Amino acid sequence: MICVFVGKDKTVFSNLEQALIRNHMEIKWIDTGKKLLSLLADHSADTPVVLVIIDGTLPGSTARDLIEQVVMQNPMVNCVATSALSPEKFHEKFEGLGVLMQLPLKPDEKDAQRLVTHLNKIVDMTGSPNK
Amino acid sequence: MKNGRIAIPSNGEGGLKGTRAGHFGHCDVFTLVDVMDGQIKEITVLANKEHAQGGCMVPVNLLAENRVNALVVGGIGMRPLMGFRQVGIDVFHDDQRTEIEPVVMDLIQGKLSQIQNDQVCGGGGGQ
Repeated sequence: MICVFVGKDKTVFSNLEQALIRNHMEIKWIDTGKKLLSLLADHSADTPVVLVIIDGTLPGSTARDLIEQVVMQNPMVNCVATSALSPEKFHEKFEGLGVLMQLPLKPDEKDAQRLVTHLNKIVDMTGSPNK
Repeated sequence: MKNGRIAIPSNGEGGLKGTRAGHFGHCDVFTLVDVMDGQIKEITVLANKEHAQGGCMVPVNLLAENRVNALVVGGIGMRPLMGFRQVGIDVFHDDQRTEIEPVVMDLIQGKLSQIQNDQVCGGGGGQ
């Protein structure tokens, strides 16, 4: 299973990266939304991208717009984003896009464990990482 | 719709005389209606699975695995809509009636429209 980080500052996601590697996920890094969409379009179904983690401070496009584009292109991909919004505002802004969860701007180890636990639950519920 | 299987998100025990659930992801069961030559052939009920945040693809996969061809919703988010389209399930829209039977009959008679991208639920954009 592949996880793609979308951001320019890798240090922001160091806790998440380590937790996902421990969860046996292959990690890829992308620095623009355009490259993410290109990667998703090219990716084989044999090696599915299961999770996309977006730095909400990424310049160029908003996390919401990028997740909407991902959903339009491949709705089976799970997305999360960092955001400084309140949970209520985040829910309102991202409603309907099926975002796995909101992450703080610099996720810590607890956030990483929370994400891994929830991702595993969702993958288990959908029956297969290909779905 | 002349032939196929229709799914209706339903409250309680479902069934043709039952009522529709407002949110398909949170419904108790799906009422499945098998249609042949424009006539109702069989009614069955399929239990929904647990709903979790970001688990939009759970009902998508559940209905695809149960060979559903069409779904009628009162509202739906962009991600599950795209998911249903990807697995070949047509999503129709009726946000007026709570009863299952008249909605099923309208779908069979071709009186319901498929939901469009600009009709999805959501604020900043759309479940």
